[in-house]
Amino acid sequence: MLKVLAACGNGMGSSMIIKMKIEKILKEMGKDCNVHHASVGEAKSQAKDFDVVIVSHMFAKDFNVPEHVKVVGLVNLLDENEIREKLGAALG
Amino acid sequence: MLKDILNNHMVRLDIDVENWEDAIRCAGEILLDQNIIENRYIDAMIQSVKKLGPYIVLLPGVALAHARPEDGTKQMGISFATLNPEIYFGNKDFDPVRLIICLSAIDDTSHLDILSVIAEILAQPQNIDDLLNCTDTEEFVNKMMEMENRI
Repeated sequence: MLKVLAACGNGMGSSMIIKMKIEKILKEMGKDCNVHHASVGEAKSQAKDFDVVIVSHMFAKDFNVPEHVKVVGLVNLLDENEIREKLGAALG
Repeated sequence: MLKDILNNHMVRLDIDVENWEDAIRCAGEILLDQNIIENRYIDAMIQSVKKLGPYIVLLPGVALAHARPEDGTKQMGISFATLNPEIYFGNKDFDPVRLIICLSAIDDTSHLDILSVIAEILAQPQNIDDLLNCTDTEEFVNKMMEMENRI
C-alpha cells in the first residue's frame, strides 16, 4: 500500500483537489494507495510517515525529509498530466 | 451540483481594484453580503497569502482564496469575481490574475464535490476565457452550468 500525502497552504482547498486527482491517477496505474491531505505545516512533520508527499513546487524546497520519502513539487495542481508524469517518475 | 450554490448573487464582474489584497477583499465581500462568512474570514484569507505566499494562484490567471472553517465560516459557499484590470499576486508562473474564487468551507469534506466540478471546469483554458468574456452575471452562471454538463 502506497502512502501519499497531499499538502497545500490550509490543507483543505488545493490539497483536496490534488488528493482526488492522485487517487484517480494511481488507480489508473493499478497502484493500491492511501492518500491523506494536510496543511504544509502539518505535512512537514508528518512527511516521514509517507512514501510520497505532493505539494506546490513553491513549498517543495521547504521539506526536509528522510531518504525514503519522495517530495513531488507541482507547478499546476490541476494538471493531471503533470501529476501523472511526476508521480510516475517518483515511483520509478 | 453547481446550481445548489451558484447564482448571480455569487458573481461580480470586472472588479476594479489596485492590488491582490483588495481583490480578495472584494471577492470575499460577496460571501459576506450573502451571510456565508464573518468579516474576519476575509482578513484570514489575506493573512494566509501573506504567510504562505501566492500559491493560491493555481492556474494561469486564476486564484482560489480561502481560509479555515474556524476563521469565521457560517455556511459553505463559493464566490467568483473577475478582475479588470488584471492583478499581479506575485506568482511568477501564473500571474496576472483575472478570475478570483473565494471558498468558504465548513469542514474538510462537504465542499469537495463542488470544488472538483470547478477544478474540472477550470482545467480547460477555453472555459476560463469564455467566463472572462461574460458581460453579465447571469450569463456567467449559465455558462458555468453548461460547462458542468459537459464534464
